[in-house]
Amino acid sequence: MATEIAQIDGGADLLLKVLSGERLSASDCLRLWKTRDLTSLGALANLRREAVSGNAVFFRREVHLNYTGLPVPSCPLCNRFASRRLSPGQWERSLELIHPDIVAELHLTAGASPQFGLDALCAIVRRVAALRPSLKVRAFTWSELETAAEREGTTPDQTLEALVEAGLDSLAGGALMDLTPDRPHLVGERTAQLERRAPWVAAAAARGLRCEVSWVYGDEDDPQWIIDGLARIRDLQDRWGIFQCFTPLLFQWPSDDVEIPMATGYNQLRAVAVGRLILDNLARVRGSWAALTESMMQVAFWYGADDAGGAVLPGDDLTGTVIGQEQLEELIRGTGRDPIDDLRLTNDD
Amino acid sequence: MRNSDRVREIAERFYSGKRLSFEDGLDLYRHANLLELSQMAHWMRVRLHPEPAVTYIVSRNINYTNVCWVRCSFCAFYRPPGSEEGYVLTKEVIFQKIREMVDAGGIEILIQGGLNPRLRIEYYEDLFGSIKKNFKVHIHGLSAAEILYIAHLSRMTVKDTIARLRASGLDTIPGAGGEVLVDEVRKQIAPLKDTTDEWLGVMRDAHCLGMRTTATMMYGSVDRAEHRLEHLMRVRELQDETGGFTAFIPWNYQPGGTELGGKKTTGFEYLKMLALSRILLDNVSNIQASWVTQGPQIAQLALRYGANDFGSTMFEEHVVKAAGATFCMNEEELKRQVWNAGYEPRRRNTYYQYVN
Repeated sequence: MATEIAQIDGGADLLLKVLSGERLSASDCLRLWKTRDLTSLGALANLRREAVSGNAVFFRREVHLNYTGLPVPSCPLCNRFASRRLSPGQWERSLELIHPDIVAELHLTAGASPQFGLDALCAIVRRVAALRPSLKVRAFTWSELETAAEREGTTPDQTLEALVEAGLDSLAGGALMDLTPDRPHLVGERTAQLERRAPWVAAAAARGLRCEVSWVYGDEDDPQWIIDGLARIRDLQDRWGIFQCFTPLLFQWPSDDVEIPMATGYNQLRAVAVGRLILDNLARVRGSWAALTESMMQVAFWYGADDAGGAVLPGDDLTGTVIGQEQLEELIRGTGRDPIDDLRLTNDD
Repeated sequence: MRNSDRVREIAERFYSGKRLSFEDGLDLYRHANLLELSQMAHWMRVRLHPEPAVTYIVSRNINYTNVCWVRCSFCAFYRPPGSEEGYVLTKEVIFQKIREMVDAGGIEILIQGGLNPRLRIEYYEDLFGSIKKNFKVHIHGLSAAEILYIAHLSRMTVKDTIARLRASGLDTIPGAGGEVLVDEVRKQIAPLKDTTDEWLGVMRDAHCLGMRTTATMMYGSVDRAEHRLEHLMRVRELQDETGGFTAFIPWNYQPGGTELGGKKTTGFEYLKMLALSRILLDNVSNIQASWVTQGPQIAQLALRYGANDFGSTMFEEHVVKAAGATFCMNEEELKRQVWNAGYEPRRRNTYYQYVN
């Protein structure tokens, strides 16, 4: 494999850097994004991936809950679960159906609504903790937090302090910028939005809250723009170190009116592999079935991904059974990798 | 020997230009990782096709009848004779379909149906002859099973049947119905269908008459890895003998709506099988990616797992669609996928020669 890597432009140099654990520059990563030699790109990413996680693929037993039913502006994945607005009675009944031995984590994200201020968010977290004390609660994207803080006039630090007191375990976070159906508009404003959220990252670090981070790209985005964004995530991680898992996501908007080109398989793997290589300070890279399809997820485990996302579990009438633990483990084993239950691991630590 | 050492040993032999055996293939299937398979398959692809191009054909699938008495348990397309849902397309409908395709720049029709007891060789001679009279198109048609059945109904030898069909206008024969060329498997999924030797016999006869055919493999029903490898070996042996196969096209069993049912194997498995096909079939020039069964993402990745051809733009397709494969792609999208993978898309004819 090494000989082929050496054949891509500057490949020998890149191989040495990866083998010695040296940091790749943004221009290294741009060159890798543009190479036709996807196998060598995969092999480089796989070297890093195996150095970090060996043969493991991590997954979590989780259920999703969207309490407002609104689209989640920073996450096409969470949008899968945005369908109908649930009354408190409805989602509480659903939570009661969850078997605590089967489900370990509740992923609580929603489209921000001005009706849900900080008090409302705290009340939801408290209610979940009371109903299902064994569930880990991973909740809220940056936009929900901003909306709640704005309504209450609280600082990021005060907002997160209140949520931690209510029983929040970790943040959902998501992309550092929101999506709009008008993508060019988004690209123009992305820097401002990303910088506005940097203080939230700092505040979360101060409270000991960790979160996931995603990067949403369009299939025809300029690679330079994608790489710049990833480099900014790396800077934030160097400084605050709160990101647990990186998920590259193709931009999708929950509407038939917005036509975007279908993601190519190459670009999906480029995002996973280059993400793994540039984010050398972040442990996990996710290639989830929900974002990629089951087949592409399996392939991604050899192109840098070491995380399958969540097994969304039965006994959950909020989302229906999407893919269960047994099926997910079988898909992981089918690729020659070893499935590892992430939260069981955490609890055993 | 450790598994990784065994893979290394096989790879070294392979990269020195040696042909790999059945056992080598099986060990690669079991122990090589996805990236190793990609690299080996791509090496063979570059050796056979150094030009950075991916070919495709503008053609149309026409399923002239869905009436078929063979009742293969893996098929959701057929209707048994007498069924109210059975059809035979009229010549007018077939001509209309061809005209639409020709107007859109298409050059080939892939015409296939079922084993319909009412259709004898005269039907086909008339159909092909009149197509050729009216259109300048290539007829890529029928399958081993259809030809065997036409020969049986018309009380002719297979070779004479093929010769007459060819004289009437049939140009090449798709290698469909290959399924897995191991009788143990065929008996389970299609007990009434042709045997391995019969399938290979039709291909041999066609090749001997100077016709070219493709070869296919439908894996993932009841077969094991050994069966798939044996299939590749049988194709390779015949190709050594005749050189008549233009391309090899593997895909996975599509269980939707079939009697056999079961689970669908994933795209990961597809990339492995595709790579092994490219690695072992050193004498078959072209390997075709099946976007209609795999979807555009896996099909595009197939270009790094040995495929040098993207198949057909396929105006319509009814057979795997009946079993739940619903992917579609127009020519512009197909070209975008090829460019995005770093290749130049090139139109081809049925003989895999570039056309403009």
